[in-house]
Amino acid sequence: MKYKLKDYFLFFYFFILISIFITFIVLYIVSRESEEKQASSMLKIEITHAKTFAKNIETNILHLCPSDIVKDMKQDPKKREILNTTLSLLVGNEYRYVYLVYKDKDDTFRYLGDGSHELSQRGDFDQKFMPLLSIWKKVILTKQDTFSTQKDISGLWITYLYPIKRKDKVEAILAIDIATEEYNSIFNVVNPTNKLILVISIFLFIVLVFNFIQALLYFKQRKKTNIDPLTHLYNRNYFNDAIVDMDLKNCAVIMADIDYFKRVNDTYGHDAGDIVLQSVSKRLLSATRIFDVVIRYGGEEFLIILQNIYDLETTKEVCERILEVMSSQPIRIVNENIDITLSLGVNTHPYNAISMNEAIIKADTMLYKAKEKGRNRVEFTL
Amino acid sequence: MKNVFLILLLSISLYANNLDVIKAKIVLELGHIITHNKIIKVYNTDPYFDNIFKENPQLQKVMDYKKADLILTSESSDFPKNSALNIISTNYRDYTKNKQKDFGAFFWQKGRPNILLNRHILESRNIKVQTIYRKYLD
Repeated sequence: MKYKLKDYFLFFYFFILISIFITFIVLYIVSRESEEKQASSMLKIEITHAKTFAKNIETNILHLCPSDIVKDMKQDPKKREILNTTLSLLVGNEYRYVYLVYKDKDDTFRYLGDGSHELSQRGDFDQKFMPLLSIWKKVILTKQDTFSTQKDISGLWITYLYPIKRKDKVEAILAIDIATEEYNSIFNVVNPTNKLILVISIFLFIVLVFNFIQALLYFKQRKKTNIDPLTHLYNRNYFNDAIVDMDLKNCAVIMADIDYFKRVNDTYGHDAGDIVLQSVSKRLLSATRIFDVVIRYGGEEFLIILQNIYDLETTKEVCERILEVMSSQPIRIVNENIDITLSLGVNTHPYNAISMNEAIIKADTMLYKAKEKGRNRVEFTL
Repeated sequence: MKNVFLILLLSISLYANNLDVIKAKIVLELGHIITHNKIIKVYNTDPYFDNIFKENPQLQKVMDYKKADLILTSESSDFPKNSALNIISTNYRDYTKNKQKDFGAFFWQKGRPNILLNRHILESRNIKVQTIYRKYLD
C-alpha cells in the first residue's frame, strides 16, 4: 500500500503521542523512585534520632535502677513515676508512644513504664503487653535494636525497639512509636504530583489505544476500498488514489487484455468468466516481480506498472513471462479446459508522457495494435 | 481453623483499614469461646463498639443484658455480680477493678488490639480454652 502525505502526518502524530506517553511513564517511575529514596532517607534519620534518645534513656534507666530494672521497679513506685515522667518527655507529635516493657518468666511481655499522656493509651505497670510483630522477640534474641514500618496503623509509621542491656543481658525493651505526621508532611506534597502524572499517563494511554484502533480501522477500510473483491488485485480506486501521480522514471506501463473474454462469458456464463479473471490475476502476480503493481483497470483489462526498469530487455522478459504463464496450461471451468491468452501493449518510456493517463493511452494504443495483429502477443512503443 | 483465623486476624490488624471489621471479628471469636451458638447476642454500652453489628451479621444486638451471650462495657460496676453474665470490659482499668466478675477485656491501646481472658472466671465456670487462646489468659 502506498502511503499518502496525511498518512505520514498520522505516523508523526503517533510518534509524538507515544513519546509523550513514554516521557510521562519515565517521569512517574523516576518520581516514585525519588519518593522511595526520600522515604528511606527520612527513615534513616528518624532511626538515628530515636537511637540517640534511646541511648540517653538507657543511661538514665540504668542509673535509676542500679541492680535490676524489673526488681527495682516492682519494689519502688517512685522509680516508676520517675520512669514514666522521663519517657513522657519524649512524647509529642513525632514520638506518639514511648514505653518500656520486659519479658517475664512465662515469656509474656509486660509494661514497666509508659510515657503516654492519654490515660486510655497508657499501659499500667505490669500490664500485659501483646506484641503483634515478631521483632519484639528478635530484639531479645539478637540484643540489637530494630524497627518495623507501617503507614496504615492508627497514625503510626515506625516502631523502633531498643534493648536496655546490662552486662550483655537484655533487661527491658524501650519502644518508640513514631507518628506518620512527619512522613505525611513530605509525602502529602509529593503524592499529588505523582498521582497527577499517573492520571495523565493513564489518560494518554487511553487516547493512544483509542487512536490506534481508529487508525487501524482506517487503514483496514482504505485497504478494503482499494482492493478488487473478485481478483484481490488493486482496483481503479487505488489507481486514482496512489498511482495516478506516480513518478514514472525507470518504469514501464503495460495494458493487458484477455483475448476473447466476451466469448467465455457468453459460452460458459459469468461465473466461468469470474473464474477466468481470478486465474488470470493469480498468473499475472506470479509472472511479475514483487515491486511491480498489478491493477484490475477495467472488466478484463489490467494495468501493470513495472518499476526499477533500466533497460528494454527486463520489460521484454516480464512480458514474455506473462504470455508464457497464460498459455502454459489451460484454465479448468466446469469439466472443460479453456485456453486463455493475453494481448499486451507496452509503453516502454512512460516518463516522456505528460501524465500517467497519457502514458496509459500510449500503452492502450499498443494493446490495440497487438489485438489487430492477431492477439496473444505483445507490442512495444518505439 | 478458628485459631489460625484469630492469629491471622491479629497479624493483619496492623495493616487493615477498617477497624470495625476487626473489632467485630474479635468480639465474635470471644463469643465463640463462651458459647457454641452461631449467632452471638451482644449487649453493648460502649459507643466505640456500636458499629460492630453492621460489620458482622453473626453479632446480634440485644437490649436486655440478661439475654446476652456477651456484655461489652467500660463500666463493669453497672452490672451485678452474676455467674451467668459474661462481661468483657473495654477498658483495662475497669477490668482490673472488676476482676471478680469480668470474663475478660478487649480494648484498643496504642493502635493495637488487646485481649485478656480472666483465668479465675474461666476456671470457676469450668471453661477450657483452646491452646491458641492461652496466651490471652490473665
